[in-house]
Amino acid sequence: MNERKKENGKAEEARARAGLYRLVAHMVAQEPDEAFLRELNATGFRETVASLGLSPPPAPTSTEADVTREELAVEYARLFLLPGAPLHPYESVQRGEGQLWGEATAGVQEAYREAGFELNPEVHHVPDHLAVELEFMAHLATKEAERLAAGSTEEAEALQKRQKSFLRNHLGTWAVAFAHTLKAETSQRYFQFLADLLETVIKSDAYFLDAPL
Amino acid sequence: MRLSRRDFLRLGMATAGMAAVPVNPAFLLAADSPAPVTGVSSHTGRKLQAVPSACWQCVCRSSIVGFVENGRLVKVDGNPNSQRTRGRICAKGQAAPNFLYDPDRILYPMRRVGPRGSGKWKRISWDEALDEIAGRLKKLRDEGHPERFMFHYGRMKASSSKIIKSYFLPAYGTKTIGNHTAICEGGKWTAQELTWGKHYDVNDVERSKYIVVMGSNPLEAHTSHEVIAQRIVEARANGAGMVTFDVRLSNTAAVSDKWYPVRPGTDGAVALAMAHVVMANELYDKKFINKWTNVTVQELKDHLARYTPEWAEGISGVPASEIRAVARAYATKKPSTIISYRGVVAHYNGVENERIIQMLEAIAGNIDVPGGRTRAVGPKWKNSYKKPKGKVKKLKILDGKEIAYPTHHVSHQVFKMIKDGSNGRPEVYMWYCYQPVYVNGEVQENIDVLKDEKLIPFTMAVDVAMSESSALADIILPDATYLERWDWEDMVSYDKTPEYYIRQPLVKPLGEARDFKDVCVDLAQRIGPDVAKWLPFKSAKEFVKDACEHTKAVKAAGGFRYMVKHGAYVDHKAKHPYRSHAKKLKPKDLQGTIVDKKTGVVWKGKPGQDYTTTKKAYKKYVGQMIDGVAYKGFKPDKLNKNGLFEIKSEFLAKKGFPAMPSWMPIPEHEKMKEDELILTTFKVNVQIHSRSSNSKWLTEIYHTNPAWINPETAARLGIKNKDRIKVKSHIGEITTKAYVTPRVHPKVIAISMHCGRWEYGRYGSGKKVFPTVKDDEPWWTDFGVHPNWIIPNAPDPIGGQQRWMDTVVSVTKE
Repeated sequence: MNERKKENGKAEEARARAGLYRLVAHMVAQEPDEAFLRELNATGFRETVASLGLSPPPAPTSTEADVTREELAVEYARLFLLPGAPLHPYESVQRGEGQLWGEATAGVQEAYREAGFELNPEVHHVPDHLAVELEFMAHLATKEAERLAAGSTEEAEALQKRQKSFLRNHLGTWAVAFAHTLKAETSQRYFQFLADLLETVIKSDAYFLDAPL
Repeated sequence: MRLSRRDFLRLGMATAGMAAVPVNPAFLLAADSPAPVTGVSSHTGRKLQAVPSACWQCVCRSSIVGFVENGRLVKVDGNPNSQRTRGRICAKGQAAPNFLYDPDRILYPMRRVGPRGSGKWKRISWDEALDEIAGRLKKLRDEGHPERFMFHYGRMKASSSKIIKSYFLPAYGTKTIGNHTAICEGGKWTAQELTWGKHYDVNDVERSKYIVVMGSNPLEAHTSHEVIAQRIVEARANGAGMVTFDVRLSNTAAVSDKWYPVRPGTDGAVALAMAHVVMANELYDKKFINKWTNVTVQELKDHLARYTPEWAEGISGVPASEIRAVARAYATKKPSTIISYRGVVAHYNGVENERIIQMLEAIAGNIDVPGGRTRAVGPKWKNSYKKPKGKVKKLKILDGKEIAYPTHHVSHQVFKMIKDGSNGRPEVYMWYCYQPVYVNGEVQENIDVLKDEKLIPFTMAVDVAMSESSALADIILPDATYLERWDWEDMVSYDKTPEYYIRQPLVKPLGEARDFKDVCVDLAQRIGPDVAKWLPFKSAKEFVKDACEHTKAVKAAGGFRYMVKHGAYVDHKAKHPYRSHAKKLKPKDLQGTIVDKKTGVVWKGKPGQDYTTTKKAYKKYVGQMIDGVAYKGFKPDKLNKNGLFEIKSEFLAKKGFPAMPSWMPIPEHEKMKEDELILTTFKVNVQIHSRSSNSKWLTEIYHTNPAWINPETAARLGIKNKDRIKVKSHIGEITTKAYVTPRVHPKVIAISMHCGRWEYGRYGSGKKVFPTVKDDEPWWTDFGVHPNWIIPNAPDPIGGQQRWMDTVVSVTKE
C-alpha cells in the first residue's frame, strides 16, 4: 500500500514536470493569444508563481503592461523569427554551429528516435527548436507518469534516465543561457516572464533529476 | 532561479488546470516503432541516401546529387548521369547546405506592422496570407483590371516558369510580368534576334582550336559556367589557343595566351578591325556569305574598309599589330569562336557590339559548325494540360521609353515607369526570386519607389531570405529553396544532345516554407473556379510527373520513376546536326505553308497575308527559300525577320541606326575629362549575383570588394593600396577601399558585385547577432560596398540593356 502511494506520488511529480515543460514549449512555440493570457492568470497559476518569488505574468487586460496582442506578436517575431533575431531558438545555432540542422540537431533527432518519437510531418519543425526539445521532455515525463501509474517502475526509471540524459546533453546545454539573453533583450513583461520561467524550469529540473548543468 | 524540489513540483502542479496549453499540433508524435538504424556511415553510423536533383545557384542549373542523412542534407555533389556537366559542380553548388540551413532564413509568412520598411513584422498563417492576397487579386480581376497585378521575377526557369507564367498568370489575366534579362545580357539576345533569330549561342569550345574571349569570364561565371569552363580547360589541354579582351585581368584572362586590356565599350571596334583583316586578306567564308547572309563580299569589304586595325587601336588602345595577329589566328586556326558576354553588351553600343561579333563569326565561317558559335540545343518537355485561354491585359511599363527593340523588356526602367505613372501603375506588385532594390542601378530610387505606399499600394515578396527588397514588402511568403522543391529542368547542352533532368526535394521544406508553384495552385483556387480550372494539377510534383509521362523520350526511358532515380536522361537519339539551317525542308514540312514574296520566308500564314507586317508572323515561320530551295534557315524570334543570317539590318535602318554593323561611340565616354574613370562591375567565382551572400562558406571566402585601380592611375590621383577612396558619379557617391593592381585598364575602376549588403542575414550583411556564441559571428568585419548606388539605370537605345559598364566617375582619396 505504501509502495503504491509512493508510486502515485512519483507519477504526480512527473505529471507536474510535464506540465511545466508543456507550458514553456507552448510559450516558445507561438505568439500568445488572449485565451492563453487568461489561462496564465485565471487558474491560480499566477498566485503560485508570485508565492514562489517569481515575477508574475502580465494580465491579459493589464493596463500596466499596456501591450496589445499585436505588439506581443511583433516582439515574438523580432526575438525568435526574423533574420538577425537575437534569439534563434535552435540548439545548433545557439551552440555555435552557425547553421540550422547542424551536428547538434542530428543528435537531438537521434534522441527522439531512440525514445520512440518522430517529428510530426505536418509541422515541419527543425528537431532542435527549443519548443520541440521542451515538448520532448514533456512527452517523456508524461510517459513516465503513465508507466508509474501502471506500476512499470523499471520502464519509468528508464524514461527518467532518458530525460536526464537529454537535459544534460542537449536542452540543458543552452536553454539557461538562452533565457538570460532573452531577459536582457526584451523589455516586455510577457517575454521576461517566459525567460524567468524557462530558466527556473531548466535549473530546477536539473536539480530535481540530479543532472548538473 | 532554482526552486527546491517541493516548490518546483508546486509550480508544475499549478499548470494542471490550463486548458489552452497543449501545443497543437504536437511537434512530436509517438512512432509506431523506432525507425530501424540501417546505416554504415563511419561518422554517425547511418546510411546516406543519394538523391539526384538540380542546382539553382546560377542559371547553369547543373544536375546534382544530394546526400541526405536521416532527413539532413550533408553534402551536394555533381550528378554523374549528366553528360552536360559530367558530374561536376562549382563551389557555389557545393555550398548548397548553407542556403538550406541559413539561420536567417524566412520560415513563416510574415506581415509588416507599421509603415512599410520599418522593420516590424509579425507571423501570419498561410491561410491568412493567401486569403488576403487572393482577395486583393480577385478584386482587381473583378474590376476588369487584372493587369494592375504586376508579377516580377528574377530567376524563373523551366517548370517554374511554365506553371507560373504559362498557367497561373494568364489564367488570372495579367501580362504585366517583369523579368530581369535587361540587367543581365538582354542586349546580346536582341543582337542575335536581329542577326540569326532565336537567341542562345553555344560556343562549341570543346572542339575549338582558337578561342577569343571578349568581355566574358567563363572560367569564373557564365550562363553555362562549369559546363563551358571544363570544356575550355580541355580544349586548352589539347593545344587550343586562347586570348582574352577584357578591361580586367580576370582568372579567364589569366589562363589565356594573352590578355588585352581594352578600353571599356570598345570590343566592337576591335571586332570590326578583325573583320576588316579577315575580309582584306581573303580569309572569309565566301560560300556562307553568299548563300546565307544578306550581303555580298563586296559590300562587306566596302563597309569594313574604314575599320582598320590602326583605327581600332586609336579607339580601343589595343595595338594594331596585335589585332592583326589575333584576326589572322582566328581566321586560320579553325575551328575558332568568340565568347562574348556582359563586358561586350552592357554598354550604350552593346547590341551593336554583339552584332559586330555575330558578323565576324559569320564571315569567318564559324556559324553552327563544330568548334564554332553553335545553336543551343535543349530538351523539349511536354505537359498534357491545356494552356489557359482568355483575355490577358498588360500595363505598358515593362519596356522603358523609346527603346528600338526591347525584345527582352527593360526591367531596370520599371520603377522609373511606375514613378512616372503615365502608363499606369500596379496596385499589387509581387516579386519572386528577385531583388529589385539591390540588383538594379540607382539603389536609392529603387528603395524610394518600392517604399512609397502611394506609388505601389501593396507589395509582396516570395523569398527565402530577408533581402533588401523583401524588407520593403507588405507580406513575405517564405519560398522553398531549390533543395526542397520539384521541377523539370531544361538548360542547354554543349554537345547538341538534349538532356532532360529534374529537380526533386532533397529534404522537406523547413518551417512553413512552401514552393511558390504549389502556392499558385492554392491561390488560383482561392481566387475562383475560372482561374483554378486552368491549373488542374494539384502540385508541382504532379506537374513534373505529368511531364515525365508525356514527354516521349523521357517516357520511353522509364518516365517519372526513371527520372527520380537517375535525375538526368540524355536523349542520344535526338542529337541535332550542326549547320541545322542548311537542312532542306521536306514536302511534309511544307504542307499548309505559303511563301512570302518579299522575304522568301516559308510560313504558315493565310494566302495573301504579308509576312513582314503581320503581327507575330515569326511564330509561324517554317523555313527560307534560297535559290528556289526551301531550307530550315535561321528561325526568327521576337521579330518578323527572314530566315537568313542578317548582317545588314533593315530593322535597325528603319529606326535610324546603321544597317551595317558599325562603330557606335559611347556619348559620355567621348566627353570624359582626363582624370575621370569608367566604372566596371564583375562577378567572382564563389558568389552568385545577389543570392549567395547568406552562405557561410562562400561569404567567408569572398566578402569584401575593394575597387581595382591601375598603379599608374593611382599614382596620378595620389592613391595608395588600401587607401579609402571616394567614387563619384553624376547620381551619387560611395566610399570604398582601393586595391592598386596592374590587373586593370588605367581608365577603369572595377568593383565587384555581391558585397555591401544591408540585409540578407548575418553572413551577408554582417548584422550583429546576439548572443555571441562560439564561431557564430563572422570573423571578418569588412563587408564591402555595393557599386549600384552610383550606377544609373540607363538603357542601350537598341535593346534596352542596362549599361552597367558605362558610368563615368571621378575618384579621389578620402
